[in-house]
Amino acid sequence: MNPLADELLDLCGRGVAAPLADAEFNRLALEVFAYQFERNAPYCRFCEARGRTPASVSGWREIPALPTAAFRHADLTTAPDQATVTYLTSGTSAAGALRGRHLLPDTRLYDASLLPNFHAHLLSDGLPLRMLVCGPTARFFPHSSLGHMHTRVLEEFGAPGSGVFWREDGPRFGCLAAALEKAVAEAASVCLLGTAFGFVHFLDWLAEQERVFRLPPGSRMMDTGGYKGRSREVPKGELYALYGERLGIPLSHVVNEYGMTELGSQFYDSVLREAEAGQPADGAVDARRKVPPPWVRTQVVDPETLAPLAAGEVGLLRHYDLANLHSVMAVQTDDLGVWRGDGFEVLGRAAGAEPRGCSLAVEEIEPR
Amino acid sequence: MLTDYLPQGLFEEAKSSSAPGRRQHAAGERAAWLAAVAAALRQRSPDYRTLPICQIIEGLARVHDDWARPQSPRRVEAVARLHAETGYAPATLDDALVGLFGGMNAAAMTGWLEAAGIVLGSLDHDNEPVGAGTLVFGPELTVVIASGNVPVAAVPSLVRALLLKSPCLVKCSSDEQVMLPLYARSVQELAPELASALVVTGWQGGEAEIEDAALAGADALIAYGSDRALESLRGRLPVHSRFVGYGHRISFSAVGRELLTAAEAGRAAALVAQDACAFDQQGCLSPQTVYVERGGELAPTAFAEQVAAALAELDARLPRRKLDAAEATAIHQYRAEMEMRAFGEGGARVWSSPEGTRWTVALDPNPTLGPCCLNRTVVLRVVDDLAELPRWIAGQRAALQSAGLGVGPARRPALARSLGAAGVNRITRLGEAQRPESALFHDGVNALAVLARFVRVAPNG
Repeated sequence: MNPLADELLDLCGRGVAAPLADAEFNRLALEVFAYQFERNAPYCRFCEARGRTPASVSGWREIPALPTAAFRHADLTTAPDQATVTYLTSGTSAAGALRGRHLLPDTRLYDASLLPNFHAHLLSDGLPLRMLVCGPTARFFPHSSLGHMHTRVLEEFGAPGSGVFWREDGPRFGCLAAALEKAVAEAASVCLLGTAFGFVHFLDWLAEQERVFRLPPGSRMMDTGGYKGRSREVPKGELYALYGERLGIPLSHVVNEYGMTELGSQFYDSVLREAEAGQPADGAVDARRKVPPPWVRTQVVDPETLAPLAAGEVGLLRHYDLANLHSVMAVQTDDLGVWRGDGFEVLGRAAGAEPRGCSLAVEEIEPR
Repeated sequence: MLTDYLPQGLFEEAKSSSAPGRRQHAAGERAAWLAAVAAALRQRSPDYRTLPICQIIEGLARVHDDWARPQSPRRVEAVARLHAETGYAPATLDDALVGLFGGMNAAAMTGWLEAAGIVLGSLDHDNEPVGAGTLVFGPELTVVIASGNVPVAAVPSLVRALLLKSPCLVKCSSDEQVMLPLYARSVQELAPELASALVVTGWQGGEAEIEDAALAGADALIAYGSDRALESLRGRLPVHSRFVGYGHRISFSAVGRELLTAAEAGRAAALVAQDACAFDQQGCLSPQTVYVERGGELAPTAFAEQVAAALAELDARLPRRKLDAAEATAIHQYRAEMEMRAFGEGGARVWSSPEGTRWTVALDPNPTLGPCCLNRTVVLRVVDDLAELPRWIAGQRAALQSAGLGVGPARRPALARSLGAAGVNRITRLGEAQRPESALFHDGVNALAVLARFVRVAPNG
C-alpha cells in the first residue's frame, strides 16, 4: 500500500545498532521529502517559499526545517483526511492558548521507532522489569504522545506487577510507594517512567513521609522533560542525586528522555546503553549526551542564521526524523543544544526573551 | 565596568573601601555602604536647598547644552561606549541624545516647573519673605532605580530630582552602565555646585538587603522595570514615600487611508520602518503594531511591501544589534507561525529579510493589540476604520504608551481624543516614536508634581 512506509518500518525494525550509511539516509530522506512535499500542503508552501522542491534539493541538509511554532497554526500531516491520532503539545510553553498538534493516520511507524530505541537505551541487559509509570498514559491522556509512549512500553516490556500511578486528576503516590515496597520485598527490579516534574513531587512526598527505598539492583528510571516552571525547580544534578538517595537508583541507571510531540522518534541519554556495552560511564549529568537512532539526523544550528554549527558550539537543535513520515521530517526546535562526539546535549529552551529595554514583552502577558 | 560617581567629600571612607573588587563584597557590606551614602546625601539636603533655583537651572542647562551641541565630544564618547555596550546603531544613539538634551534646555526646564504648578521662587525659601503663599520642597532624598538598555530613559528623572533641590541616589541598570555615570561626570565637570547632590552607583537588582538599605532613607523612589519589579520595590518603600513607577509599556502607530496613496505611502512606509529601527523596538515608545486602514488607494499588502523595502534599506544604513538565541528564535518561530496562518486564513502574510532575522513585516488580520517579538518586527494589523482602535487596544489599557498617527489634519483631533480616553498617553507622528516632544509627562505622569511637597503658608493675622 505504502512502500515508503514499509521500507521505514523495516529500517526501524533493524534496531538502533544497525548503522545507516549517510548515502542511504540521504536517499530515504529525499524520498520522504518528496512524499511530504506532495501531500502536506502547508509544508509544501513553506518549502516553495524558500525555493526548495524535490527537484531542486539533492541532499538532506537542504531540506527546509519547519519551526515547531508552525504546528500550532496548521495541520501538518500528509493524510489530512485519514488522521485518527492527534497528539497535542502541553501548551505550557506555547504563546497564548494555542497548542501544537501532530496528526497521524496510525501509530505503526511511531511504535516501530519507539520500541527498539527504548529497548536499546533502557532494557538492553534483558532483565525483566516491572514498569511503574508516574506520568501520563494513553487511557487518561489520549492526546499526549508521551502517554502513548508510556502505554506502549508498558504493554510491550512490562513484567507482571507493572502499573500506572498517574490518573487524569493527578498522581497516586501512595499506590506507587506500595508498589515500590512490594518490589523491594520481592527483590523484583523496576523501571520507573515519568516526567521529571512528577518525580520532583514524588520525592517531596517521600521526604514528607520520611521514606527511603533501596530498590533492587538493576532498577532504573526514565525521566523526561521539562520540569522548569512546572513545579519546584530542581537543578538536574541535584534531582539525580535525590533519585539515588531516596530510591536507591544510581546515576548510571537514570536515563533522561528528550522527545517532542511534533516528532516521530525520541532521544535518550546513552549512559545505560554504554554501561551494558562495556563502556561504563559514571553518569555525570554534564557528561551525558543523546545519540540519535540511525533513522534520525540531528544538527545544531546558529539561532540567527540557522546555518549548521561545528561540534561544541551552542545553538538550536534541528532534527531530520524519517519516522515522522506522516507529518514533517525536518523540524526546527527552539531547544538549545550542543553536539559532542556522537550525540548531543540538550541545554534548555531558547524561548522567553526578556525585554532589553522597556517595551512590554510577549512573556509578560502570557497566562501563568 | 561601572564607576561610582560620588560627590567630593561625601563619605570618603565608603568610597575608598569600595574601590577594586567592590562587586565581590558581601551584600551586607554593600548594604551598609549604601545606607551610609544615602544618609550622607540626605545630610546635604539643607545645603543644596540654599542654592537658588535659577542657579540650578543654569547649571543643568550648561550641562545639557554641552551634550546637545554639534560635535559634542561628550556625546561622541557616549555614543561610542553605548554602541559597544548595547549594540544600538550609533546614529540612533546620537539622535536620541540630541533629542534628550536638546529638550532639556533652560526654557524647557522652567516650563516643566511651571507645568507642575511650581512658581520658581517658591523653591527658594531663604530669599522669599515667608508671608502668604506656597513653599515647595523636594524630597530630602530621591532614589532612582534605572533598568533596561535604552540609555536615554532615566536621565530626566535625575534632572527632575535636582530641579526640586532633592539629592539623588541613582542605581544604574545592570544592562547599561554607561549613560548615567557619564551624565554624573558631566555634572561634576560643568556644574560642580550641583554635583554634591548626585550619586550614581550600581548594585545587583533584586537583592533585597541592598535595595532596602537604599530605600529605607528615601522620601521618593522613581523606578523603571517590569510590573513585578515595580510591585516588589513599591511594597518595600516606606508608606509615606512618594513613588513613580515607569513600567514596561506598549505603543502602536496608525496609518490612515489618506496616506495610502501613490504619492504619500512611500514616505509613510519609510517612517514606519524608522520607528521600528530606533532602539530596535526595545524602547516603550516604539510601536509594536502598526494599524493600517482599509479603503486607501493602496492595499495594505502593497503598503506592507513598501515597509519591507524601507526596512531592507535601513538595515544597510543602521544595522541592528546582535540578538541572543532567545530573541532570534522568537523571530524564526513567529515567521513560521505567520507563514502557516497565511496558508490557512485570508489576509495573513509575512515578509522576511533574506538573511537571518534582520527585519520582518507581517500582515495580521487579527486587529487586537499585543506585544510582538521586537527587534525590527513590524506587525501591520488591518482595520476598516481607525475609529475602531479603542476597541482593539482595550486589552492593553494599563500598559499603553504612545500612538503615532499618520492621518490627515481633519481626523487627528478626534482620534487623539478617543485614544487618550482609551489610555494612550502620548500622541505623536509617524517616525517620531523615539523622539519624545518632552520628557515632562512620560507615561502620563507629571513626575515633578508627584515629587514636590507643596506647603501652603497662610497670611499672618
